[in-house]
Amino acid sequence: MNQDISKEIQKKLTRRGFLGFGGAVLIGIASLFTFFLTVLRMLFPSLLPGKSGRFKIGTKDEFLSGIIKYFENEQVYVFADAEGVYAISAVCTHLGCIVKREKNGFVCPCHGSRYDLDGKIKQGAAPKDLPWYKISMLPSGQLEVDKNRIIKPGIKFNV
Amino acid sequence: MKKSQHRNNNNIFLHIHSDKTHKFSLRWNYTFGLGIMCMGLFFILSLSGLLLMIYYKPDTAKAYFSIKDLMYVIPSGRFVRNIHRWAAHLMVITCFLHMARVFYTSAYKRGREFNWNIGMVLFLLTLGLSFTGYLLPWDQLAYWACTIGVNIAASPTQLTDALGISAVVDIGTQMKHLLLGSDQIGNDALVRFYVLHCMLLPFLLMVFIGVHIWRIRKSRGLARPDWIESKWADGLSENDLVHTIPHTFVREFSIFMFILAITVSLAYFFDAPLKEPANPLVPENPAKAPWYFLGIQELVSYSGFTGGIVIPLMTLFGLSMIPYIDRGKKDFARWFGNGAGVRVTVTSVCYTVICCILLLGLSIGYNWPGIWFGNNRQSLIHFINPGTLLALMFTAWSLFVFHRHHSIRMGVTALFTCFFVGLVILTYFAWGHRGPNWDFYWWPSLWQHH
Repeated sequence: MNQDISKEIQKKLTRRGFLGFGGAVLIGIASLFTFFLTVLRMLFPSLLPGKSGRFKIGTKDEFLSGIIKYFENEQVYVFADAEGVYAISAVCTHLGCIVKREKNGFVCPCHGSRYDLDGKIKQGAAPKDLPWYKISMLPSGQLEVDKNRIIKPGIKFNV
Repeated sequence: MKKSQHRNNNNIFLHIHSDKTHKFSLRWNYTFGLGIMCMGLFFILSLSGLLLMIYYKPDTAKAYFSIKDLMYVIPSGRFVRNIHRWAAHLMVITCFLHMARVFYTSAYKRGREFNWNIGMVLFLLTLGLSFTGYLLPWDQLAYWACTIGVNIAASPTQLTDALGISAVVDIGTQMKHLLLGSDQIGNDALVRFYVLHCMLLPFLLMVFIGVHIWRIRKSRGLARPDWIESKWADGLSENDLVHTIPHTFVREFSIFMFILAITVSLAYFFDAPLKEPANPLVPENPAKAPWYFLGIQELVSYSGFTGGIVIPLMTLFGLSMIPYIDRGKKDFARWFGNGAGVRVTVTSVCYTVICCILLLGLSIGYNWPGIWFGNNRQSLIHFINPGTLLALMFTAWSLFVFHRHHSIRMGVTALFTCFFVGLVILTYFAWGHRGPNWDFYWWPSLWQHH
């Protein structure tokens, strides 16, 4: 019975027929695929609205050793010590809450991750240390923090 | 007779139900009317949501104040908002209970396997609707709960980071961009959540409710035990049938009235919260997710990726596989099957309570897993934490039960009970015993306010 059917199919299925039908199906699949890819692309933002991530923090003279400034709008801590100026992110690497500075480090209010003053994890679920951001000096003499450029912890800006 | 049947079949209600219903399906202590309650709540939510939509403005500058208007200016606005809020909470609870009912009566067998999975989809859609609705008031509660939720969705980045392939494949960040339309919660995110909450998810929910109900009709109504089915086959069960109108109709309507009464009374006495306007600069402390995600948040506090993605996904996968693993024909449509079922359920509850107290106690008493693994713990913590250990203990227990009773059904019962009770305990724990900085407190009244 099955053999009969397959024989019949073989009889009807010519090379020309196969290629013609197969081609049509292929084109159909390809255009559907392209269509959905095109539509799906629309859901992803092409540029991210929001801040550039670069901001000025003041001149070098303002950062004498021992000064700690928190830039609330950018969620960055800037520290100055004898070796130089450095910027540490205040966004917890666990789930994005804002950490608070306490005596010997940072504490996240959401899930209790704790970091030391260099942003190194001490306890909790945070997967990474708090990132350090690059500081550079603009021609105007202003210092600028770039949140898009993460540097190795310990590198401090000094002129 | 024929004439009347013909007339009846023109009734849309009798297109959903059959002309006659078996008395067994109407027993209140078989279904507790939970499925109808879910439907009723969805109806209440649609109507109250429609009213809220008239005044709500999905814009970060206006959203909070439009809710405030609803609360203080618009006649009955506060009441309708309260109804919407309470109905949403109740719908999550009734979905949970409905699923438990279907599980413990083994009603997912014999052609109903697929419908169990449709139910899972409905459950996920319900959670999705609750979560997207949570952001809309744009207050502190909303903003920070959603920050956590979205970052859980983005946590696969932790895995790709650990593997060092984030530059090539970064699913986590893509998920975040898809949800937020940005890299932070802002206007784009609010509009997306609004569209999901008011258009896409309710539409999908309606479609799947339709499929869910249609499958029940196709399976000849609710599951019935064998002794009824055999009577049916002999044609002796005519006396056990009642006319769907009025009997079924009246019951379904009274269940709807019942859940409406509960929703309205809760809404009358307890206001839905509205905190200060969202402030992206200062997190709530503690920042807690909506209550139905608190169990997951407790797991997330051990490890973002494992607790937020791996364990929930594995649990969902396990739940959807239940009907295909447990293919036995016995105990169909009977609460707990037989004596062994009750015993297994009770012992599993005890086992789960002990496991949870043990692990939560360990993790609080010894500040674990925070400080146990030293410096290289970051990678280890994903694999060994109270969450994974609990999942492991539950699995081991169910294997033991399976071995002991030589019954897949008993093993699955143990596993389901463990996860169900475990989730309830973790949710309670995170709700009642986690305070500022996610520290342990005996009571919320002991929180030190910052």
